[in-house]
Amino acid sequence: MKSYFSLTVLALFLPATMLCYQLMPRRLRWLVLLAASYIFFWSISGKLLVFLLISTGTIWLAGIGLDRLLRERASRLRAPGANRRDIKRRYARYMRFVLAAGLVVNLSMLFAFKYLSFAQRLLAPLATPLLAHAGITFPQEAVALAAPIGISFYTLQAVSYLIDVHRQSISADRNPARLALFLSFFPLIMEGPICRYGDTAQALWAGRPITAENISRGGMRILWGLAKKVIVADRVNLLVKTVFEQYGSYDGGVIALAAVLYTVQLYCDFSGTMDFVMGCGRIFGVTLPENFKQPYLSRTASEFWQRWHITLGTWFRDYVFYPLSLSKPVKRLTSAARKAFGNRMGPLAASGVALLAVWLGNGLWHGAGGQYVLFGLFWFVAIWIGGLTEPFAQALCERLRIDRASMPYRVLQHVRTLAIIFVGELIFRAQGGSAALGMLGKLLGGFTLESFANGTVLGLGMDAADFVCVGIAVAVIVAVGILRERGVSLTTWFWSHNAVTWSAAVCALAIIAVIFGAYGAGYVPVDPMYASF
Amino acid sequence: MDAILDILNELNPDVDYRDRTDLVDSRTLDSLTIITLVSELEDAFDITIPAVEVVPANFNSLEGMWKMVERMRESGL
Amino acid sequence: MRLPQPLRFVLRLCIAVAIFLGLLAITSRIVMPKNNQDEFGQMDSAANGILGEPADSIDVVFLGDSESYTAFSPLQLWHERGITSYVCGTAGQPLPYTYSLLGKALSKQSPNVVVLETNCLFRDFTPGFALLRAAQDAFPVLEYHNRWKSLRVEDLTTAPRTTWTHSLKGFSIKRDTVAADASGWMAPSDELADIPILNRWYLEQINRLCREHGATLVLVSTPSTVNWNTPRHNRVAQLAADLDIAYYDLNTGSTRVDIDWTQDTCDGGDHLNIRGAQKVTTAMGSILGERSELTSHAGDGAYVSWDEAYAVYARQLEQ
Repeated sequence: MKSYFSLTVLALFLPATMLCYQLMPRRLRWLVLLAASYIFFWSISGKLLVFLLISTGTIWLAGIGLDRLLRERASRLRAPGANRRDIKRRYARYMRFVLAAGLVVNLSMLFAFKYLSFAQRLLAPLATPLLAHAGITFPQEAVALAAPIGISFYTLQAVSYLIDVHRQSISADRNPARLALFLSFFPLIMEGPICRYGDTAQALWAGRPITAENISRGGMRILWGLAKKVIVADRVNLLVKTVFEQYGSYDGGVIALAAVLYTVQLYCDFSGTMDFVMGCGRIFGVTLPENFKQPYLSRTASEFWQRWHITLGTWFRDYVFYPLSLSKPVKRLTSAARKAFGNRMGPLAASGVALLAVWLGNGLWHGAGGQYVLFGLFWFVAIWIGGLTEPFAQALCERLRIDRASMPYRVLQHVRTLAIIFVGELIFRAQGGSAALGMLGKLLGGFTLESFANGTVLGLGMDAADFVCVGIAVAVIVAVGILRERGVSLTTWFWSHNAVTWSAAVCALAIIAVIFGAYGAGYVPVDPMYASF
Repeated sequence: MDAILDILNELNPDVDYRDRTDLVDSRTLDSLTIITLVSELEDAFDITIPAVEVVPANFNSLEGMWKMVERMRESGL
Repeated sequence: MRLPQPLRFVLRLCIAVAIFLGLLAITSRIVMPKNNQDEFGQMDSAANGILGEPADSIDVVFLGDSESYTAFSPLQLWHERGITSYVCGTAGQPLPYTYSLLGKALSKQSPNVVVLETNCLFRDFTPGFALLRAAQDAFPVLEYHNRWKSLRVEDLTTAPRTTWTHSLKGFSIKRDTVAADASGWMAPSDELADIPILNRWYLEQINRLCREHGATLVLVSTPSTVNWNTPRHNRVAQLAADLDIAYYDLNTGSTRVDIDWTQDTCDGGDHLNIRGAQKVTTAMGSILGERSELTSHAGDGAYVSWDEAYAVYARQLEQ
């Protein structure tokens, strides 16, 4: 199973799981979900399941350890004649140790699977001569280990669980099997979203019965996601692949087109998968966090990351940005910066340190390669500069009497933000750091509409009919998105109407996906981008 | 609480903070603004706000912020 | 009268499914190629050319992947033995597709023998693919949906016909010569190559389908240094014994064909070229000639078109 949208999953695995789930007594339904999740994991990664088990085990143990330390500390504090400050400091140290141990074990597994060969490549020029003196040969051949599916996602969930226990926002789970379900739940394992234990875990064990409404609304959402992926994402794939793999042969105009189409592809593929995930969640009565909120409606760079891959952004915000910017050294930097640059600029400038860490992390989380580092740096600059220049922009607009709430200004913001997004995704998709820079060079230096004029663009993997199809589909998606932005849920609307309306809608969507889907002969299947993480 | 309101108004005068309970959820206060806010609050009230306190519940409304400030003052870190 | 919730939902689901199946049938009728040629959008037209042959005129149907259409030449078989045959082979043929093509062929033909080239027994496919193939057979729109780009008025008005047939009866002439490394080919071994359960199941279904239509299934392994080895031979021999199917391995044993691996392959041992195909077809001819089910039609006036087709083929070979 390489994607959730395979017949094996949609026609066999999911219905079988739903059946077993519904037939089980309520208290045991979560076990069905756990079994299904492990079967799913096994069918993709086989024996690598052991690493998921190690993560689950170590995190569970660490959680229990922290819990026990907290209780010990509480009882010591209650004892008469207790030295409160001393006890607090000692236990803070023990707890930090347990937290660190849990984090180190899990993050080093992630590092080993994802970043070992990248680190090896980076260090080779330095390490090889150095170690040669000591008589040790630095391995020249890249060590590439096949990673267990979803390791980037379940590791982040595990880390968030442990940190939340340490912060005492949640209490540790005594039941390793229940924690295992939180980490391995099959809709989450391939592409997220990255859930918080406090928000999601309870619902996973609640065993809510599958209702007609949930199947309809969830099913409709899954169908919508399938349509997005199969009609749009798969259709533009060939052109995107062709241009990105051989960018040297194409001019700036074609590269710009490929960047735009890749962004469309990535959005339709990733959000389409999220539709499947959310639909599954609804079917099993679990409310999962949204990962996308109409990102194409963003007006600023930082707003984009509150609308795109939302759970990744909030994870980095809560577990990297805040802890870093509120740590003692950065706070000292902030005070110094406030004295130098004033009360507004100061903290903004100083939090740049934490912001840089977030963006390097975000970039590298997506993959071990130069283009991902560049990607992170690009967004760091865009957001940081955006934040730093905001007061100047405000003042300038006041001086020039430009109304920032007016339509033309807002359109400008939308267009500017879209341009930033397309450039960011260009860097992201490039086949390496130097390719990214090369493509940017061609885009900015050699931009021309010649390939559009002489028809070259129609020979790269999409013909005129394909372009029209994508254009119409994107227009529909944006229209639905605008409705959602206003709070209108089409799945609810259709469910609340009579059977014929609902059936007609579902059938129309399904038949459109069947006819206009880009599958079968002549289409290259998309490697699920986010599933290799 | 007026002191907090003053700080907020200085950061972004276009917003009416008084009756809102969704300052974080509606993204009126984004993460960079919150960092600045924390820095100002720490200075103004002579407290230390740890990362664990930076949650929507504490920053969604003026009342939430005020309660958090009082708590930090009491624990007198 | 308000029906209870679950019942209302089942009703909605039934209505939706019914409408959907109806739409699938209508759209299938619209996008289906209106004749079995490339110009009408037919996929794998060479293999589907069998539908253009006169009814009940084909004695032997060959099935399999690219091994089959590079190794078996029906027109040569006609010339040497007077047996009519057709190659319904397609590149990378997975067994569900073999089953589909066989079904199509049997709808118009009643061959006495069906020959399955054994390379496709070892080709993996997911249960999802098998489901999709079955769905595509039921509703061709799932296969031909791309024709929305090239629809014409006649797609709405005319019914699909099958009047075309391939000039070489599904065979493909390969003229290149790239020598193969035959060291280690068919090295002795006691191992049995693995075969997925689903593949075995499909083999049984193909066997059953043949029997239901009065045809005998026969397994044949064409010579190939790249694709064939002793473990695979052992596995197929065992399967054939289990299912009581005749098996002829042209790589080894008494049925071995004397292939010159420096001259008779077009791509280093993966596929045979025309010289290799001629040797294999002659061998197949003598194997089939020994079987009781087949008789020669040579000289029969009804098969004059085969003589004409062979004449064209012979001229092509001389070029």
